[in-house]
Amino acid sequence: MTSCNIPNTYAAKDFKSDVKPVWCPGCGDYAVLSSITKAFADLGLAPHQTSVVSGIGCSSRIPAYTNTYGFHSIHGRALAVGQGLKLARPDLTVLVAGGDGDGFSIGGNHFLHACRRNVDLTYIVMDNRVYGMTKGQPSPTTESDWDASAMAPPGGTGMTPFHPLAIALAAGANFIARGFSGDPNGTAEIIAEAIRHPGFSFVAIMSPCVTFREEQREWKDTMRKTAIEATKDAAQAARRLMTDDGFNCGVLYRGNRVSYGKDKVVSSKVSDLDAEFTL
Amino acid sequence: MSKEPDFGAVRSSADLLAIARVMEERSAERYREMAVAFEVACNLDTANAFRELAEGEDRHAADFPALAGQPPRVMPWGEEDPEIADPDAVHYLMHPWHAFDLALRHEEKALAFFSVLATQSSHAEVRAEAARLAERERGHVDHVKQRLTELPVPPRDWYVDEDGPNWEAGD
Ligand SMILES: Cc1ncc(C[n+]2csc(CCOP(=O)(O)OP(=O)(O)O)c2C)c(N)n1
Ligand code: SF4
Repeated sequence: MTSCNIPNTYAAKDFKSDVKPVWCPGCGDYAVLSSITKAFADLGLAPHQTSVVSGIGCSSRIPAYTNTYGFHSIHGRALAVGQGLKLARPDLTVLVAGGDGDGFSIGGNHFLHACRRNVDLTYIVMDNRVYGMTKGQPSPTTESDWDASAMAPPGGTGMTPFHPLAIALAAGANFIARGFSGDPNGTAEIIAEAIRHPGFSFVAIMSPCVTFREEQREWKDTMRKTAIEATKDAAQAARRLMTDDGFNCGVLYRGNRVSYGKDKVVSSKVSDLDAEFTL
Repeated sequence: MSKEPDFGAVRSSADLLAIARVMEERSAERYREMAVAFEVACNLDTANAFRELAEGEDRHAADFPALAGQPPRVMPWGEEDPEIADPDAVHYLMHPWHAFDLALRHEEKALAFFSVLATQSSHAEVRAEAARLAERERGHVDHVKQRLTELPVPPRDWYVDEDGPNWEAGD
């Protein structure tokens, strides 16, 4: 791409690649893809200023379907790659995306420390409370008694589900929100706000797996837009989460921590890089 | 997350025709998206069923040529466009019969939508146009019912996938 043929404005479709998603018909992730590309367009970004980084899972296939820089990395390591990319290329808008298995099981430790580190990027988890790609095992967000899949132990795992928003808040994330794939426009607004907000922004998007969690089709009747304004007070956000039933959509928390590495001067000169490794 | 319908948004016969056209166009687009998704999922019979439905909706949209102006800014159905199938109302193993069954539900919803307007709109012109459109939708309902009788009814266990777990996926 040369500067003479870069258009000034891009539409959502310009952020979609020509690759046809291999997601099951009806998967919530189609709408999340549309919300992400709409958010990029609404923010006036260009594909060459944007990158999408993921781990492994159905949801993690998303970089292939976007027309931005992308990295389909390894299971659970998307945040490590995304943070490295942002620190090396602070000019890029970095969006890291994946599933609840990728982000909270194998990638759980990266999630905690990415919240603490507060690098300026947006992390989207398409939460369907199951491992879709490997055909229906319970994930950390699965209800403790869910055993509708042959891949789940009888009576369920018996483990308390992980509360991603509460953990993000406790670990120091600077922006926390929940979206729903059944409300693609509302979710696009939340993603755009998350990208604009400095520091580590976490957006949990409830995105039904229609194949292994058929009952999640009913989320369209249970998800609701929260009537409560976002807060910048972490203690107040924590109190709200005490009564959160998992169906409230919107922005919960907008913090004001300074992003990690903000003052780091990045140089592309090999000699400067060499100097960083001198003992 | 649904908003209540706002039937007051339709003020004239031109408004209503424009809305009717948008309904058919959006429905065709949704069926086309589904056809592509089913093609990728290697369920070609159902992909073809959705393509047939999309082509039908294209023909219905073409019934409203220049007559239809700009649709009103606020659509009267809130967030529940009666003619458009929910994107998650499908299953990768579903049969063509299911696709037409889904279409039947939406044609019936569209019929109900125009029937309500035909009796409840406060504009006489809208009531008269809505009654004509309801009649037209009745024809679409009959056509989809006819197609359903021509298609094989799926077996009871149509959704069973014999493939085991895929532990190594993504490696
Ligand atoms: C190191 C490693 N362990 C296990 C796997 C198998 N595996 C692939 S995807 C996945 C979980 C995917 O679940 P989730 O992140 O929730 O995504 P979804 O498919 O539901 O979108 C697992 C365990 C793998 N690819 N690599
Ligand atoms: S298995 Fe579930 S998460 Fe994966 S593509 Fe299918 S519906 Fe989506």
